[in-house]
Amino acid sequence: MDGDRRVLVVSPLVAGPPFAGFGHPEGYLIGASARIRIPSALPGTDDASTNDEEPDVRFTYANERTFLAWNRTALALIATGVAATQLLPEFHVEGGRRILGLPMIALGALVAVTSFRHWRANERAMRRGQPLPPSPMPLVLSIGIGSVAVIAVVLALIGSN
Amino acid sequence: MDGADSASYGDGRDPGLARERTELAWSRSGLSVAVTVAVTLRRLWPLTGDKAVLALILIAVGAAFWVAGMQLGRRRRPANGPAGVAAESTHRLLTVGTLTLAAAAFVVGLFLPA
Repeated sequence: MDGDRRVLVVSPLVAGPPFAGFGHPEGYLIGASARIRIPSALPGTDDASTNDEEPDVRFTYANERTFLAWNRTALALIATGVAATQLLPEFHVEGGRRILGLPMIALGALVAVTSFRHWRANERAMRRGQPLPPSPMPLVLSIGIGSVAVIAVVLALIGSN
Repeated sequence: MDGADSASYGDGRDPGLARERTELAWSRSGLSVAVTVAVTLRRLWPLTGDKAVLALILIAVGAAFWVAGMQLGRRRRPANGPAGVAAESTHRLLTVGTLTLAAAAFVVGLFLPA
């Protein structure tokens, strides 16, 4: 049944020229221009089987804001990582600032990629009326920041007495 | 058959100010990019060595991705009403922009003298 619904939205009959360029590589469409009535676009289909539809735009907006918020988190990690390598006073450990800063930058990159994948997974789930997938982001960020904190404590303790 | 439109407020109402909050989120994100670019640029001068030039290019490219993404996101929004959300390509553009800035930050952190 899921497969049938998907084919309807993928169909070029539905995704005509007005939507060119905004088509989703995976076949579904995003945006107000794609708000179309699929059941009437394909005569002979059963209304009950075609609930793969444009989600409430407020939910789409919320998903977009969440993505942007995670991207800001990623940017903050990147900026803080640069600041750690460039602006902190030197630790007693050789290259200590890099040991602290570079993992933060890498964590920022990881958060950016994960936020995009999670945004896309949410978008798909909303479109198909499925439950939203669990977010890996809090776990990723907690483990990452916890690791950086441990590194910072170790660096600060070594040679401090 | 008309059920889908009642939820999307095609008449221009936006009770939760979802659109406005999203616009603000975009502005905040642009500010974050500006701060990240500024921090990464801070120790780049004088431009000596290939690594500094590489970092500068990466910063420029990453910032350009973000500017382009924000323009795309804005163009999709009509002047009134809550409708008009950014496409997947726009989100991908922003993500690549952030990754490019991360690469620039890595070059700066790893190679440039502190």
